This record gives sequence, C-alpha cells and structure tokens, in this order.
Amino acid sequence: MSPKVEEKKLKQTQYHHARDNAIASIGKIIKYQTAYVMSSPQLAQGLVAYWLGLLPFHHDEAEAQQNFEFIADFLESNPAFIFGADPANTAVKLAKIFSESYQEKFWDDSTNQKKKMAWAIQYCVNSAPSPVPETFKQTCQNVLSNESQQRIQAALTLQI
Amino acid sequence: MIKEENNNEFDLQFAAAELMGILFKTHREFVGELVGTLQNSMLPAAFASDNQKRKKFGIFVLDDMVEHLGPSFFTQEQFGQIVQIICSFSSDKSAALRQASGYGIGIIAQNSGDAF
Repeated sequence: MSPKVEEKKLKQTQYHHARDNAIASIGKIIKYQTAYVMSSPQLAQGLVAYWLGLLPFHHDEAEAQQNFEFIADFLESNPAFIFGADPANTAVKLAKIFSESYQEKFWDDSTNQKKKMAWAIQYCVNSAPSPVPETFKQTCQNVLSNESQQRIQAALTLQI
Repeated sequence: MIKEENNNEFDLQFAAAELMGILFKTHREFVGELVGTLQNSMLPAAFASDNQKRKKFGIFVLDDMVEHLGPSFFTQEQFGQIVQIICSFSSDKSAALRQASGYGIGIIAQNSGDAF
C-alpha cells in the first residue's frame, strides 16, 4: 500500500473513532448525569432524541456495546425517558439500532449483555406502550434488510 | 532518520502516559508530586506545542486524571481547568485530538458526579 493511501486510511479511521467517541460521550452524559439531563424536560427530550438519531455506530465496538446497554437499561428502568414526546419516531430509531446491536461482536459471553439486548427487543415488540410495538414491527418489515430482520427474529426467539 | 527518532520519542511518551495512568489508578495517594509536576510544567509545555502528538499525550494524561483521581483529588478551580482543556479540543481540526477529547468528556460525565 502506498504511503498516501495508508495516510488516507489512517485519517478515515481517526475520523470514525472521533465521531464514535463523541456520540458515546453523549450516551455517558445521559447515563451518568441523568438527574442533570432530566432537570430540563426540553434538554432531556432533545438530547435523547439526538443521541438515538446518531446510533448505531460501528468502529469503536467497546463504546458501541456500552451505549447499546444504556438504552436497554433505560428501557427497563424508565422507558418514557427514551420514548420521549414522539414514541413512534423513537421506535423507528430503536428498530434500526437493535437490528445492528444484536450481533456477537457487541457482547461479551461472560456477561448477560446478549440477554439484555434480546430483552430490550422483546420489550419493544411485545409490551412497550403503543404505538411502539406496531411501529417497531413495521420498520423491521419495511425498512430493514433481510440480514437485520434475521437478527431481530433471533432476539425474539431467545429464551430469557 | 530524524522523523523515525521523533516517532520513537512520541511512542515513548504515550507509553509513559499509560504508565502514569496506571499509577493514578493504583497509587492514588502517592502521585501528588507527579500530578504537580505535570500540571506546572509538562502539560503546559505539551499544550503550548505545535505538535499534535504532544497535545494528544496531554489530553490522555488529563483523561486518566479524571478517570482515576476524580474531582475530589483537585480543588474545584483545578478540576474546572482540566475539564475546560479537555472540552476545548472537542472541535479541533485533528480527528485524533477530537477522539481523545470526546472520550474524556464521557469520562468526565462518568466520574465527576455532582461536580459535572
């Protein structure tokens, strides 16, 4: 590989890692400074919607894994915080995120990350407040690739 | 030749930054003098430099200070300065510096509690 091509490749990698870390830092602010974020409903809605709109990311797998887990944790503890004022739009984003996040590379077998991800997908499809399940399923059918749909299907059949 | 020697020097500096991070983590009560030297001479020199790798070294050290020493190790003013320096690189034209800054901002959120 020529030095110029190598340099361009390195720059691209650095760009992607910078972007991933910036998005991950928003996730960490939402996760670890929840009280501060929730102190302003406008900030909470805006920041959560913005963060979800930037996910998923692919280059920094460790940070991605952590951010996916944050979503699952919030869906379990405070789903309204994630769904915000526009649950249908959030459901579309979640379907896209989870269809990416349910992959082996994003979980460590020594933890319960896989089950956590599967639970979050099952929750969105089966028991989240309307219109989340309907929109989530429609997005899976109409927007996602076959491969992504298969991942969602695999999560739905996992015994938790 | 000079370029290669410089690269070796920067590699050595990054290795030193990693070691300092481990010291912050494992010998928190013994690193006061080291932190003072870093704050008073090494870090100002790194950030005043035109060299991107020296600046990256500086941000790495600050990220580790926040992660392993936390706000309780510093005065409010010192911690505020550390946060300001890390955040100031979040829109830098260098992706490598933005990455180190972005990582640091997440670490600040995770480790600074109410000081956030």
